[in-house]
Amino acid sequence: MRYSFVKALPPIAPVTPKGTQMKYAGMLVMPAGCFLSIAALVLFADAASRTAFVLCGLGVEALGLVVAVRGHMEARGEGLR
Amino acid sequence: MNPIQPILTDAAFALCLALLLLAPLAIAGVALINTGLGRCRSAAQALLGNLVLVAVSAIVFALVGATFIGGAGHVFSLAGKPWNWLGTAPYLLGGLGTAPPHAQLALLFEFLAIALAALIPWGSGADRQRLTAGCAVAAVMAATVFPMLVHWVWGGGWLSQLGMNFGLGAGFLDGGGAAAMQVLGGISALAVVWIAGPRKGKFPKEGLSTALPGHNAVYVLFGCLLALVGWLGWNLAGALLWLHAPLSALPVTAINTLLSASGAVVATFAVTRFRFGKPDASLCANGWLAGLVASSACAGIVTPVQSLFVGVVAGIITPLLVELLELALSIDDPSGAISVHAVGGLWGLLAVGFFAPQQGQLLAQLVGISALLGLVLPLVYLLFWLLNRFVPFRVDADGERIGMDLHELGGGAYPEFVIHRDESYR
Repeated sequence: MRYSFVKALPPIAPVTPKGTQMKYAGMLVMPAGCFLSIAALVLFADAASRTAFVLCGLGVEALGLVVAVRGHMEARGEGLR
Repeated sequence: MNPIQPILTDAAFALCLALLLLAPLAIAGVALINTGLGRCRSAAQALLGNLVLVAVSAIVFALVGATFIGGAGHVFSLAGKPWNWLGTAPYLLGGLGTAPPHAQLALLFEFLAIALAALIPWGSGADRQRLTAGCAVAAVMAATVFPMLVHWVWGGGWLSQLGMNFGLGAGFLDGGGAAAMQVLGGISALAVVWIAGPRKGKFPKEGLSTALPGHNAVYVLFGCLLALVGWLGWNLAGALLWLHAPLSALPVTAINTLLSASGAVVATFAVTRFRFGKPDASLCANGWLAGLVASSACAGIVTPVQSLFVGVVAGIITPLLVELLELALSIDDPSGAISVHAVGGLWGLLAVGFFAPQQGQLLAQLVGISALLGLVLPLVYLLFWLLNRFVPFRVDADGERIGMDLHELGGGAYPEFVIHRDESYR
């Protein structure tokens, strides 16, 4: 292979472990869910649309929390290895 | 919630003050629970920490936090509506002596609330969190997140004005501090546990997590009884101050508090009896406390039967969640604060939405819960993550091995009482 020396290089280690990155990503997603809930109040006047959007916002927050928790578990696994 | 402060009658003022003077018993109860659920070689550090954290949080709140809780506040306009997000009050409690009686009582309530909120993450960081770090966590909470949240909920902030601005019931309702005190404490506990990590040996490389039971069930259960007295004071005073309830509504509020805790402990007793063959004392204590926490949100609003229902649900959720967090999610929370205070408080706030008579109240409560999870949790995590860079939360491995008492204080809580031989004496 012409550029075989590339293979010989050690893989670049990420600055932060994968699990920790996941935790940060989850934490960033959670405010997005909250802003969705707040936007529902501003954008809609009827109760049904507002409720649906607020529930969607809470769903996004729940997803962010799940990602953060999974990140915590990944990070713990990385720490043990 | 109506941000306009009513004028309290002399009788209501005196009663509210007397009720607030009962609230430190809740702080004492939580301190005993925190200590009893930790290990014996960290007991003195744990109880001293509770004492010092109350002091630090009170001082920092007086010097910094109280500036951001009330007054006209910082307001921005969005879609033609005012969004009041941070209070402005005189520095260093200026003008407190001449403030209206209602404002003085509200401030006393908030002083006691931050003292309790600061203890909640301390219990979760037991056996590995340094005392200095605990004080720093309390200081950060008292200076930043707590006053902001208090302003949102009780100080005329945007959550309290949801009813006025968007027609959502009476705005976000939190009669006894479920949001500003309990949920804030619970999510701070989650952040501390995530940052500090689990206790050494809690999660071995292979197999299930190791049980590290609390060292004194008597402290824990007596703490629960003390907490009931304090919670009664808190919920009744909160009903007067934040829900503007008449004096005639207070007996029902007290009954609701008791019923919620009773329903919760009976439910936890039944769940643990069913799952483990015998009732679990520490989980029953957690269930009792979760019932009290849930009642903080709704005792002044719901009927006694509804309060019993709220307590039973809290009592069922709590032991299952404690187990889930430990066994499935690798979260080492010795005091169970995340399940008890965060989830119990959120359930109570949601129950207000279900049972309150006002139109749109459920949506107001959901928006409040969304703000707690979506804004306050990431903010708390960010602040604690930064704090951990300057004041490391976790003690070194040697300190954890010999116990926090010997490492941080130089002496144990039970010096002439050798419980068992362990690795530190070999």
